[in-house]
Amino acid sequence: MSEESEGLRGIKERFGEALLAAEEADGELRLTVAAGRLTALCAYLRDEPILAFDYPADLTARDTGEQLILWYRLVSIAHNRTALLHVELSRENPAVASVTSIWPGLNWFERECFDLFGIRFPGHPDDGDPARMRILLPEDWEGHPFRRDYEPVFSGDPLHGPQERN
Amino acid sequence: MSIQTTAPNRASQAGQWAAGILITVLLVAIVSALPLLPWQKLEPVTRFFGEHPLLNALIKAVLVATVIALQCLFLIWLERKFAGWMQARLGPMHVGWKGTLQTLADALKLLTKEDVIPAQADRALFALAPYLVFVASMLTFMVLPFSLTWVGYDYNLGALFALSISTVGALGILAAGWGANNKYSLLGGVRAVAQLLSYEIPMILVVLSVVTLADTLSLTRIVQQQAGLWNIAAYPLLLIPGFLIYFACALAEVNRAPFDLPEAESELVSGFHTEYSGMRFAIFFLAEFANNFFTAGFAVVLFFGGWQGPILPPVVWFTIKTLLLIILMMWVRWTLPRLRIDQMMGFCWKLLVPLALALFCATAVYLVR
Amino acid sequence: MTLTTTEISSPGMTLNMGPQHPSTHGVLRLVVELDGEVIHSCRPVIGYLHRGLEKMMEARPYRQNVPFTDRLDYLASLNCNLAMAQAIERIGNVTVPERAQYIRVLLCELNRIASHLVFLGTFATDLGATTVFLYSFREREKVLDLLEAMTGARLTYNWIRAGGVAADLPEGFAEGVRAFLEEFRVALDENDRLLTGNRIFRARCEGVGVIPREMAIAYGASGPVARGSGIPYDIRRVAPYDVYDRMEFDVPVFSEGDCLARYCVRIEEMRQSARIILQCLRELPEGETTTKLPKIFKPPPGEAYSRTESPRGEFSVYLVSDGSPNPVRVHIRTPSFVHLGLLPALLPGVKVADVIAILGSLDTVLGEVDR
Repeated sequence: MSEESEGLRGIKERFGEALLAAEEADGELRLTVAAGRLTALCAYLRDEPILAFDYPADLTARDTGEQLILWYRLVSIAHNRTALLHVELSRENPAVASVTSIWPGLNWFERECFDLFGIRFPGHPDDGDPARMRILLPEDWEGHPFRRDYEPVFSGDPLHGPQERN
Repeated sequence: MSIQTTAPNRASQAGQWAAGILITVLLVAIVSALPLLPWQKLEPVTRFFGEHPLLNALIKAVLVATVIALQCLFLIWLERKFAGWMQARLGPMHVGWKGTLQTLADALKLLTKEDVIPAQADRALFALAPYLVFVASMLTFMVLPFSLTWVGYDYNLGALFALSISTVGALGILAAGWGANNKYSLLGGVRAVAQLLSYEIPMILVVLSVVTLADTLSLTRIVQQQAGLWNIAAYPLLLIPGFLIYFACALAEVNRAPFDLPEAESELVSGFHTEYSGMRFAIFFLAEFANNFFTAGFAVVLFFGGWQGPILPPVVWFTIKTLLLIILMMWVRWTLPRLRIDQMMGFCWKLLVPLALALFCATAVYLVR
Repeated sequence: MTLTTTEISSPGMTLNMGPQHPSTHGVLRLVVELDGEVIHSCRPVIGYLHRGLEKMMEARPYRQNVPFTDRLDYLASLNCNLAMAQAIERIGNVTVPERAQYIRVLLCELNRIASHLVFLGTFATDLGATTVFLYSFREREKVLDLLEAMTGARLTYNWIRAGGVAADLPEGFAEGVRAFLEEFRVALDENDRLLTGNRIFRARCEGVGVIPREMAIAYGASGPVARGSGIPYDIRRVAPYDVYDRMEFDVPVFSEGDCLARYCVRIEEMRQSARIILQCLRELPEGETTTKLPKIFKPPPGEAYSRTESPRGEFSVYLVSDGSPNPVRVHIRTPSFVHLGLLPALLPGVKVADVIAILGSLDTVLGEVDR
């Protein structure tokens, strides 16, 4: 327990002002971080030996109606511990620095977040090219269907899906 | 309630084997009975054809083509049955007794299918390629002696002719791969040519060894010399490794696993004949099985005494031996995975070619000793 | 004397492997740049099977979301059921009866065997050994028969529900499983003789598609892919759920990181699954098989996630509740999605034939990639 608290203390010392919330429960680190310091925190989480969150397990987002929340789940293989990172973003023009340089495995997850929520990830290899960022939906899809304000466009033809061109 | 898991049915497997053996015996009996027919009554007919060589050649060609086509139907059925038995299933069962007419039904289906030529294809090459492959494999049968008399043309350079004409098939495959204007086909065609030409070399070297030992290029003479003792038994130290090299090359020459890279279903979506459908596809198939029969028959001529054998007529002996070799090839095909292109080329150039060369040198040394 | 080689550059050829291709195991498209037979670059294109399952789940009560998971990893749908059921139980603080936990483990391991058998068959077919395909599917058929006797379905079982399992084991199930495992052991040994030791097979797999340990971690590889790269990361061991903490089994780890290592991990895992199944049958306690959930199930607001070890790797479901009967966000982390992301880094420099071998060794299911 003391070691884990030490890890959390280290994070708090370094990122004190950027941490909006930080707690430790059920053996998990639960952090809410300001978007600006995300990459620095991620690099610290990975490289600090007592934390060593080297394994990117999951990344997704959700739309609460007021804001978009990114949810990172990181695992430390060596310590067998989980960290959950929350990043709150505004719904207008959401963007957060990409962490693909730290965990290349999150590349496709970031693309998925762009595809479904319209969150931009500056620094992502495909950032700036919506056609290449799209992953699950067709390249020319318009809109981001998991946002609360998304209105499906019906093509009028029941045999074709929304937005499908004949 | 009780739970039953499916268990292999031994009785039906035994039935399968019995059916296979019965069919083989029947075929042997039919072919054996052929010489008993009153052929001499046809003497005026044969004399007439003797006076008209062109007509004679035409009739012979049609006969050979028909026989090959029928034999391919049988081989395809056999292959499917054999594969089925190896893979714990029944194989074709529904058309005809034990599925015997399945290939005929398939051939009819292919005949009635639309002849699709892709819009972007090179039409001439695309249309011509299957026939090029087919003709090449047919021509090899011209010199293949089923018996002393059952031979299209007893050419005194038979071995040379067979080897050179079988290479023409590679040209047809390349034409098919290029003409279809499909990337998989192109890859398949290129692979095929690289493979066929590479494996030709050790094959020729082995054949050359046998020819040197026999001192003749005529296939009938080579067989006649084996009347007492088969070549492979007469020169075991030379020709047992020789046969193994030949067999590996033969597998590659007929695009069979582990050397089926030009067709590689799982990689190239069947390679050079991806775009072919209907009769053109059937002709590729036919050519492949004809080729298969020829390479096996050629091996029988070179190593296993051709038509030589007691009691049964020569044609039957030849067919039995060839069929056994073909079954051996099927066995290998349904057992082994496929090699990668570099491994396949390495196997040829780094192992087979040096071995075949050494074999040829050893043969020469043996002869001048 | 030294030999110098000159690099000859050619414009190359762009080849669209898929979405219709026999070896992409579904509707995956690989845009590969070829230089002869050598791959220059590769860009996987996915989404052909995208059904928006996560969005559909938001419109349905929690329990009605379990059947959707059948359509994710359709080769091991019980494992997907489990992940969803577990997430629901976590967010609603539901405890599962012990007997149900045993049955879950038993079913998941049976399904793991079935899934790995599909891998074995398709991987061998990808490499050209078609006979292995039929042998492994013969064994899989027996598992499917058992699962059919249990659940009535052969592929989309929807049997593990929130709170437990749908019903108890049928009569004679244990004997059927034991009889199968006895035959299965023989079949695995037969496969070892037919395929594992085959020189051509080894030549095609050894040193092909090597994923070093660091790369596997940085890319978030899990399951047999991670364990083939020397990472002893198995959720059943590092974060045990249900009754896995009482089971005795080994986590096979191979350090080579190539196709052969991943193959060997899966073969060994089938043996371990058989061990777990026998233990489950031996220790199966009497009791209830499900906890009754209220008619209208409203978990408290909050978020929860489950981590399970599906045959392909770490399969987890993330649920967010706002106190209403429907989840407000469902996210499913599927191992195949992550593993396909490895391809652009893995493929450059290999031959066309290796693409098929590597793709086969990752054992992806497009249903769970596209969701």
